[in-house]
Amino acid sequence: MTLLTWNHACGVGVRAMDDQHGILMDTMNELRLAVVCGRGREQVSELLDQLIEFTRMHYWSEEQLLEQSGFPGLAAHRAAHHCLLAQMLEAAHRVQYGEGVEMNPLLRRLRDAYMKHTEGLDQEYGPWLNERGVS
Amino acid sequence: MALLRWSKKYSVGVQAMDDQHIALVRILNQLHSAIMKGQAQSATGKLLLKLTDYAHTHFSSEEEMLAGAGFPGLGLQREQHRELFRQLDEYVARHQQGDQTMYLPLLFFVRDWLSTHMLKEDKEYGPWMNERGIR
Repeated sequence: MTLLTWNHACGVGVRAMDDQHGILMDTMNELRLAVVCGRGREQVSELLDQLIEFTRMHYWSEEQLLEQSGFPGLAAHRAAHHCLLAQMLEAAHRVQYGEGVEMNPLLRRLRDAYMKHTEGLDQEYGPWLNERGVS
Repeated sequence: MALLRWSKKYSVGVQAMDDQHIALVRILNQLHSAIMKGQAQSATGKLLLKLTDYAHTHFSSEEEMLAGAGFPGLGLQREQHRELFRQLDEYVARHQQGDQTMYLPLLFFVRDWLSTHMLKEDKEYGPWMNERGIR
């Protein structure tokens, strides 16, 4: 599993959101390091909880921006956030209570879903916000 | 869930400083919890003020203790404390402008700064102080 690094495709054209996406990537890399180094379930579980909290905070912040600017795709975006969070919570539950959970594939799925969202749906709001003076 | 949990690994070997660190971590966790609950800007503002105020109190007390004991690393400590305040000031300014996107980077930054600072720079003065009868 490779390290997540910032690249051109991640940028959404809104500085505050780019910063927050960077923080989530850092947090995911922290989690990756814990898994790669074979840290115990408790520590991995704690880092995953932290990631979920940061993700929640980020989604809230992003949705606020979209709401304030009257972004037409807000409902769909909210639903996508909801779905991603549910996926993360399910993963956290499995890490905490599941027996013989394979951490690597679990984490890889989370990262893939996250990157797909950032490089996909998140790209749609940039121009809308930019036109309204948020950049 | 707490943003940062103080544990023995963060102990710097001087009880009074550990107590202050615990208090600082507690305020950070209160701020985190208020943000996560979506509390009003005035409420989070009060906690942000409480955090910066307490950080001032703690750093003055720490620097005074180190100066009194002639600790050679005092200059670096002062420098780092100043840098924290420089960054905090920027976040406070963003908060006052009603920028809600500052919460996540603020919490990420303070959590990271505080844990690294306690584990690294602050640990260095422990033995020096202990040798001078302060523990």
